[in-house]
Amino acid sequence: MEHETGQTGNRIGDAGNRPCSYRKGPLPDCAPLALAYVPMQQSAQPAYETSEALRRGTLFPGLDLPFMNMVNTKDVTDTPLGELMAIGFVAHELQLYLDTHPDDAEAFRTLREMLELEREAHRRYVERCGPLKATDLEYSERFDWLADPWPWLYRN
Amino acid sequence: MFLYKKALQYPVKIANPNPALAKFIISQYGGPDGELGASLRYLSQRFSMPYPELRGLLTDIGTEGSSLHTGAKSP
Repeated sequence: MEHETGQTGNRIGDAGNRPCSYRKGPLPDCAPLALAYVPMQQSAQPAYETSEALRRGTLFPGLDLPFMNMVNTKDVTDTPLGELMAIGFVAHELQLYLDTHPDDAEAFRTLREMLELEREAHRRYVERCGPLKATDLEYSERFDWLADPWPWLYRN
Repeated sequence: MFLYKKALQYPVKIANPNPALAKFIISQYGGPDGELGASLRYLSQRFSMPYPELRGLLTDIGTEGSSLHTGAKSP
């Protein structure tokens, strides 16, 4: 299997060897016939800050392509659960980015920070509102896993 | 193995329910080109992936698909 596009994210730019802008990725100049190429994201920067990432549905502005230009303007991080959602989302986005850029040490450092923040926010939330995962029952005084609300039930 | 987290990834508040649209969205999960089939293919084909760094990638892509319709995440 050939890796023509610099799988580790090194900056192969265009013909002038400049790195591409964050909205673009490199493609080889004269590529072998009949093979498909995908322009790869080159960097984890720039990145949205946490609540904006959740709102836009991606951590990376370069990957933010709102369908029919319908941009979500509602900020949902004004509740403890909303904050936890945002932190968890950013951590997960970084994990997916690192799947294809495993040598990006700075992105990995950020992932570790986000995971630590998530762990603390999760703990705070569970102490107030009950278990989010079955393993959170270690913090419960009684078996409250079955209690409402389940995530698909909500009131307008 | 799979771990279920009792929270949505993003809050849902539908002001104007649209059952016809919901029916269409759900119909995208099933069938030969459906999301469900795709995520199961990722999760089953990762076992025969010879490149170690790609087993994890297939796992994460399959998990992402699962989380869309079950709220499940594989640790």
